Amino acid sequence: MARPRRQGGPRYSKSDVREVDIHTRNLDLPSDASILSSDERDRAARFRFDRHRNHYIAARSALRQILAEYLGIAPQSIEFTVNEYGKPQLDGPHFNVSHSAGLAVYAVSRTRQVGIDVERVDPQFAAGQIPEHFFSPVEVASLRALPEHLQLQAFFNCWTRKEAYVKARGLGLSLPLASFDVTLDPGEPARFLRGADGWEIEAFSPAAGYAAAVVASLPSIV
Amino acid sequence: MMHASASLTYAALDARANQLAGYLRALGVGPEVAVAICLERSFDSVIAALAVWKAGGAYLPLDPAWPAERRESILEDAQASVLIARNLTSSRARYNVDLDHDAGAIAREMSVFTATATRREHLACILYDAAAAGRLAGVELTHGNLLNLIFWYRRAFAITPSDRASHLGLSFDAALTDLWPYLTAGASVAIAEETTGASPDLLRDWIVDRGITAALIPAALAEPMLSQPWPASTALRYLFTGAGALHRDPAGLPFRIVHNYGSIECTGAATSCVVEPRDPAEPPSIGQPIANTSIYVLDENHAPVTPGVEGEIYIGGPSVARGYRNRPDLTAETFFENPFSLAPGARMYRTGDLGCVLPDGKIAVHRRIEYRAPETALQRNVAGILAGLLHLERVGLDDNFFQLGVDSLLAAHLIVRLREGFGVELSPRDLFQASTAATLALRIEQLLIARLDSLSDAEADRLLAQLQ
Repeated sequence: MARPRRQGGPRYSKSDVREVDIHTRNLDLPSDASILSSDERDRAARFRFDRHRNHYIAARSALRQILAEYLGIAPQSIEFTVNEYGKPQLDGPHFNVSHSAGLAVYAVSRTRQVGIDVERVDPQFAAGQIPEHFFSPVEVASLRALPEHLQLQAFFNCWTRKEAYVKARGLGLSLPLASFDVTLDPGEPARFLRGADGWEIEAFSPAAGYAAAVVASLPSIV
Repeated sequence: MMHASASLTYAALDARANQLAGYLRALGVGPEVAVAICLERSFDSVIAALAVWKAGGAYLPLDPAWPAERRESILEDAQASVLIARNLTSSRARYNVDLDHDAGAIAREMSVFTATATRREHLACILYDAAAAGRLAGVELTHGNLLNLIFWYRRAFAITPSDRASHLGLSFDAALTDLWPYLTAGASVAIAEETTGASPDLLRDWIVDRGITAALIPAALAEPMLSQPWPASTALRYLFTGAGALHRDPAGLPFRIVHNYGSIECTGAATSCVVEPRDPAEPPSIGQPIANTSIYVLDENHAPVTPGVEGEIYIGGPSVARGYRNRPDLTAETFFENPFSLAPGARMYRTGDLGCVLPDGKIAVHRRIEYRAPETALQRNVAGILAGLLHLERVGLDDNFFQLGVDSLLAAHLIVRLREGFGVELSPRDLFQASTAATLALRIEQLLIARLDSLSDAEADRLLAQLQ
């Protein structure tokens, strides 16, 4: 559900997952590169193609600006670290970022660990044999059982939901993809069918032609 | 020859070599047959090399100090059918000549022997670079190659029967100059002992005591040794060492310091120069080409560069080796038709050194070209697959995937294609650790080789063909 904070400004919405905010940005719009750290600048310089470089700069710049609001400090002052598996983090709210084809999504929460993933639903990068190599047997079966014309969307549903969970867990590549099942049927809400105990998931579409999902840790029982 | 307190006359050397040659001939050694010799530096190793030549074959020296695995790999790579060693436990060679166990049989051979007639084009020896880790490349030197070197050396350094060389071992390419020019001139050879190279002092003392007239000194020992006082009575006339080893004025020494530039591929020496004190601002030159040898400084199209312009150094003449054994691919990239020579079939060797022609016509060496192992079909394949996925015309072997814009979805597509294409269990972690086509191809190769054990011979052959 979109509830714009400011007219004509960046989109912001409260996720249906409680306490998680979702922000969206168009990375093809001009961005402020001056607030990037020297590491980020170095990384930007190493991209071969302008498009990727510009998207990277815009994504990091927006991340800093978004987090600055939560932290109450200047965007260029934010210092990021990474956990032992390489997940970016900081001394403050939990956050996670994803972008695809110029659209970036950000999940931010003061209380929940989060993971987010977005993909443009692009037939060029459709399933192929990825499900057989990366999805769980249940997911592969569900996907292949669907009518052909629904499999493209279903593939991207499954992909973004699995990615969002992996990124939420922050364990990088050491999390076996087949250790949990997600729903993928277009029109069916996103759910964990197996595994992922202690986590909840929500799918959403930040713009036409994009699939996305956000995963958050359940509140711990006090 | 001398070794510690033992000595060997020419007559004894000849007789023992004849006996071993008869034994080798009976095993089938003849022209173009490779015979590996794995012996410590000793009379036996020189006798063995001579015996191989008398029987018409080519010797392949293996240093017993090299790891067994490397020695076995070389034997396999060279397809050597005979191995001469001591106390053999196991070997890949078809015929093993154990100088201890077979001593009796060898001693029963005739001490006179008619050497097999060999021609200049026949193989004389196969030398593997001890320092080249991984990549195996045996340089094939012909009798013609050695003859050119030996006769140049004897003339250039005026070798007479009263000369005495110091010999470090067959497997060093220095053996080409510290052994054969002397033995063919009736001069003598002192085999270095265990402790000889232990310190600059001991080395100098050994050289003086033994009456050595020419010695090759590794660069590390050369500098400190040359700052020692040298008795004027030393018989040493020439000290051979690496270029740039000297930073001090060699004036005042009773011998001349010589640098021979070259590698095994041009029979050890392509140029030679006496090291003189020089103005450090001037670039060092590599001296004059040896007999019948030409040095070219060329661009990528094998055209000579103008003086002062940097190019790659090529060497032409009869010292240019036949090529790399069983490696036609490597040979084709290193040895080329010589467009500057009128001799039919003349070839030139690409050194991999960059240099230029100085105003006075001499050649200066600048540095090595960055060695780039030739592209394998596997690497091209991986790069091609990635280029396809990214809709690019081509992807460089060293381009980092992530810098090209590969994200997790594209990475998954890449992994699927490679897994299905090569039947290997490539994982996302592999992609993170090997994120270029070159390194990823290497990883795939490792996975394929690990699978080889489980395959039948036919399947293994097919798999290996993919890796070429």
